[in-house]
Amino acid sequence: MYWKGSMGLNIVDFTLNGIPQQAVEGTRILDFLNDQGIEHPHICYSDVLGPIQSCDTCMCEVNGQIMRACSTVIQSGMDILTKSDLASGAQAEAMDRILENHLLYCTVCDNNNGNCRIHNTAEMLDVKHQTRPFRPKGYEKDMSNPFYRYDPDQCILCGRCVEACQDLQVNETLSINWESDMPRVLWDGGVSIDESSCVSCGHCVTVCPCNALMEKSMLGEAGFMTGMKEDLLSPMIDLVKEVEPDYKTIFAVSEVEAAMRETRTKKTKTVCTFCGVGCSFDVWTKGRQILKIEPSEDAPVNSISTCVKGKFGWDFVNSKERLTKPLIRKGDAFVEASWDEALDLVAEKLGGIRDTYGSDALGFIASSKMSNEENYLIQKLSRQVFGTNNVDNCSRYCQSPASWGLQQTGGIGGDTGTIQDIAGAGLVILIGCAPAEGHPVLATRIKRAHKLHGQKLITVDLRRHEMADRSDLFIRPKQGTDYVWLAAVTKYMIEQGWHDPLFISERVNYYNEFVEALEPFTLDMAEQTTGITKSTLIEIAKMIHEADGTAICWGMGVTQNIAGSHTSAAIGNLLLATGNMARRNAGGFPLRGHNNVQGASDMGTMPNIFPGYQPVTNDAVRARFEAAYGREIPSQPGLDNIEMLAAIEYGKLRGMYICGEDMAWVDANSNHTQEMLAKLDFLVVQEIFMTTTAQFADVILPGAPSLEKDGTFTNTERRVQRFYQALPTLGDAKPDWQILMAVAKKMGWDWGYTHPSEIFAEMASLTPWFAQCDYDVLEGWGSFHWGSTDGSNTPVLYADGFNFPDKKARFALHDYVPPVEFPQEFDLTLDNGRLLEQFHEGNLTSKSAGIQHKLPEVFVEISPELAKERGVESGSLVRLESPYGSVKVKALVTDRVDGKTVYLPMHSHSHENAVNLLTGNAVDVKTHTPAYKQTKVRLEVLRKDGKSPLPKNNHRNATRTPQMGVQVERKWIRDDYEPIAAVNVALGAGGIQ
Amino acid sequence: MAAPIQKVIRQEPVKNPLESGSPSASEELQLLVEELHQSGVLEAARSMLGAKDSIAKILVEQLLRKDVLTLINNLMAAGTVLTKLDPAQLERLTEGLSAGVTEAHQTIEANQSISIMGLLKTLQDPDVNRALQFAIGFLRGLGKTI
Repeated sequence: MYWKGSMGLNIVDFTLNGIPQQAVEGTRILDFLNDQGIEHPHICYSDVLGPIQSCDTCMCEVNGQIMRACSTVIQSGMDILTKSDLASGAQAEAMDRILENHLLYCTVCDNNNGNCRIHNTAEMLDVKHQTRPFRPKGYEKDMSNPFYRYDPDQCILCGRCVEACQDLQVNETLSINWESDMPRVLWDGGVSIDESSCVSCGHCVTVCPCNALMEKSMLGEAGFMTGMKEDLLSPMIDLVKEVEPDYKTIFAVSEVEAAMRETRTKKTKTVCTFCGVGCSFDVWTKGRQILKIEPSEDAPVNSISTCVKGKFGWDFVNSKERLTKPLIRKGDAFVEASWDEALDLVAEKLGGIRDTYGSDALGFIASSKMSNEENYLIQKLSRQVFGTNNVDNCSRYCQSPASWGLQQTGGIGGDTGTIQDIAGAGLVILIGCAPAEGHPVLATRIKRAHKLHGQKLITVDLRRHEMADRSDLFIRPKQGTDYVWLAAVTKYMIEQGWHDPLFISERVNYYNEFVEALEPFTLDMAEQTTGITKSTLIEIAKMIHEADGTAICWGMGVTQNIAGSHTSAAIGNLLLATGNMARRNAGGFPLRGHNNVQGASDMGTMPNIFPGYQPVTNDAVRARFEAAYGREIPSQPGLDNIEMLAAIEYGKLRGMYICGEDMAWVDANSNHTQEMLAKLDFLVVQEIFMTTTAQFADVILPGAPSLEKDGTFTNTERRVQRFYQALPTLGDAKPDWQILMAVAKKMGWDWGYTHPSEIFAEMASLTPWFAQCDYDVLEGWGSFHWGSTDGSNTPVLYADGFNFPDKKARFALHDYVPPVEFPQEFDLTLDNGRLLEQFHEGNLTSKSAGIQHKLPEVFVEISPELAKERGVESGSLVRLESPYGSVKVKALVTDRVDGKTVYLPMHSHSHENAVNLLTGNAVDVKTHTPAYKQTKVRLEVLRKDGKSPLPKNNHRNATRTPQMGVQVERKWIRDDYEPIAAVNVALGAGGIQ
Repeated sequence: MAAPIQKVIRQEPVKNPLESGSPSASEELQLLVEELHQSGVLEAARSMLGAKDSIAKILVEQLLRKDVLTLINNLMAAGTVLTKLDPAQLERLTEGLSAGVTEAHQTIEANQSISIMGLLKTLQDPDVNRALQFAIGFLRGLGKTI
């Protein structure tokens, strides 16, 4: 018997090719066949996109009629024949129509990798010859996009790309002009790909069943005979066509070639390192060359989804600028050295500082880009080898306040659910985050749910980004006042009786105190403080009340304030008051910005905790680690990033070891940071590029990016995933875990790991949350969510109670702290953050020519009103000045920002325009996260005229063409369409009937 | 106190022996192998070796197709015949066939209808008569074997 998902439980009886069968009511014929492993032709259908009904190859005979297997739901008593004359004839007819649109030159085609759906279906259907000859459509190939091309002559018009673009990625660029004499896929209704609203996410290329849409990195590279020039390739294709022994022979030859490719093309599962979403996919390589990123429906977070960086942004791995040898500072230059020399020097100097000034004169910075295993070793190096708790990671710069807020309310500092819970929520509220820029694949799930499934969306942000445009309600509060509207909405909901009294009484402590603490936060007060009208506040409350599940996602707009921790707790409070925690399709989701910022903290690279957030001050816990590490560990928390820099100033901190973190640009107030780095007696930087931070080093140790090693990352959902080594290390560079081991060994601690799995096992043995996780659980596409004290897999937190001794959550009772005041001359609010194409300070993505083609430089976004007032135009050169420093940058006039708010993206590592030259020293009251968002600047126009910094071919300059899916029904009403199926009924978007 | 620096002093790269002077025999060989490598020939060969099982499987599947099997059987039967024929006789026969075809073409081109009497008269032509004797002998031999 066959079950699919959570559909009805009624069973229907039917016959398949004469044999009685059973299926759960609501099952489609094709799903049944696929899940039973019964081979049946189909090209346009997939689990993810649903029935598109365009290829017509899946025809069956159902009760004597020709019907599509993909869209026909099995009914009781159905008689289904998949191989009758009627069915086979229909399938053959459909394939013949497809081959009119597609030339089978498989052997010299870069898509001949064994997974071409047209090749495989034609072969399955035993196609020997075609009755309709191939004819070109009469359009040029579109090669304009830097990452992929479209060849209309190979396009079978199945519409998968359109479905993916419109309804899965929801960028709404692609369509098919079904009414045209010769339909084709169009970008924004008919402009070149490069000039369109296309964001190069790669969905269309991934779902294309043939070679019509191909990654340019594959062209001429994937095959043995595909590298030939056009003037040889064309006659060769003609020759194949003329000789045309029959298709079976062509298939055989191409399969020999595909089998040869299989020995050369290496396919390795990896996890993306460009944000915290945790997309996984295969990377195809040929030697050191990356052929392409190949997403898979098996990937637990992203399935087939990617963004431009994950799909196309890996050029940095083979950049000529990679560090390939250890470097030692000698005079005014770095000199290449052997590993032995470099490690000896590191051991001598760090050991010397420890012996002279004590262990706490050293500080260690871990990396949110490195693996869990490597982060674990960094804290072990700090605590065991050097005897200090002075270890921290970059979550200090971004997400510590969010973790703190959630720890105060629910007890665990992590997303309370999964990406599926965000997609399934009745209402999503985005506060101070722009996932379409910073977490693109997560954004697709919200955009899809909003477009297809009636999900409501509220965006609260200073900047009108894409998600704001798509929202049901977009709110621009005054900077730094989110706490107030959150408290006011919570108070109002309690007054209206829209809270969840049962949930509160059974599962949450401090309710009365909380109600009292909310007293000042009336709607009037909130309106005055935040600028959000009372009616809007009531509207928010109403939407939360009416939604089945509210998921709140937040980002740096909340956390990078002087009380981002309190605001994060206020979010927790609102969720607790309305019963939106400890359930599916609801919860709190701080969107982690780096692939392993969650993991770095989980692994204990923080001054106050061991792995698994076990306090260093807890004697029992510390005793466990002391026993395991064979030495005494300080009982008091060490210094965090911010305190370390201060300690340098006072001469207390003398030596630092920084792993994979460009602290010089990432910490606030860069001038100050760099001054401090210059003051150190000895600095070790473990890096893959000569970053600005590395330029301050005494020794630089060349590490390896994720593609060159094994390990695990933990994404924003607390999901641990494995990545595998795809490439050999470059030059003398080493996997970072091996470097850390070598340093420890020079210091007399021989850890003796031979594989990261052993490091993970050691960590798990000391950390109850990971007790049931190991490398076998994580094999392949496997994954594991930590979050239960018994160490079991926990996708949704708190099902068995909150993480406090009495299993009850707590309303957090912390005050509102108004934003920092600046002198009046600093009259503009400096918003800052990411743009889709680039990543962080740009050390990685700026190595990609394609990305640079799309977004070559940073700029400051200025509102039309302000531009008019100050005489600024797009392309004007302006100086922004804060009390801490100044930058020189081109302006872009756009209504994404409003009034006196300006937006400066962070993707610069230039002394001219890096945003942190402007940010200041104010920090969060609880976690010391710099208040990057509480920065005010003044503006001076340096030169009025200039070229706009946003290229014409950037997607932000184009207009999308939204529609529901590919609209195959428009094909069916064409005069020249002869129906094959007896029934042609369009389904709702996403295949919903 | 460490000011930020970017300058890197690299170690001298090891010189490639192939870049200087006239190559020795072993260097020639190395160059040849390098050329084969650059052109992708070695890679293709290596991949074919690596995929030999898959390739063999595909080839065998091709060979097992019914039309291909028939073709193979016919070729083999034809081959057997060829081994039993006397080459000298076969040569005479093929020459005869060639001459016959030429003569036949001329006759057709003359486009004269043949009467019964004309046919009988033709039998007396010594060339035609010899061909008939050959044909009757062939039919006798064939009849014995089928």
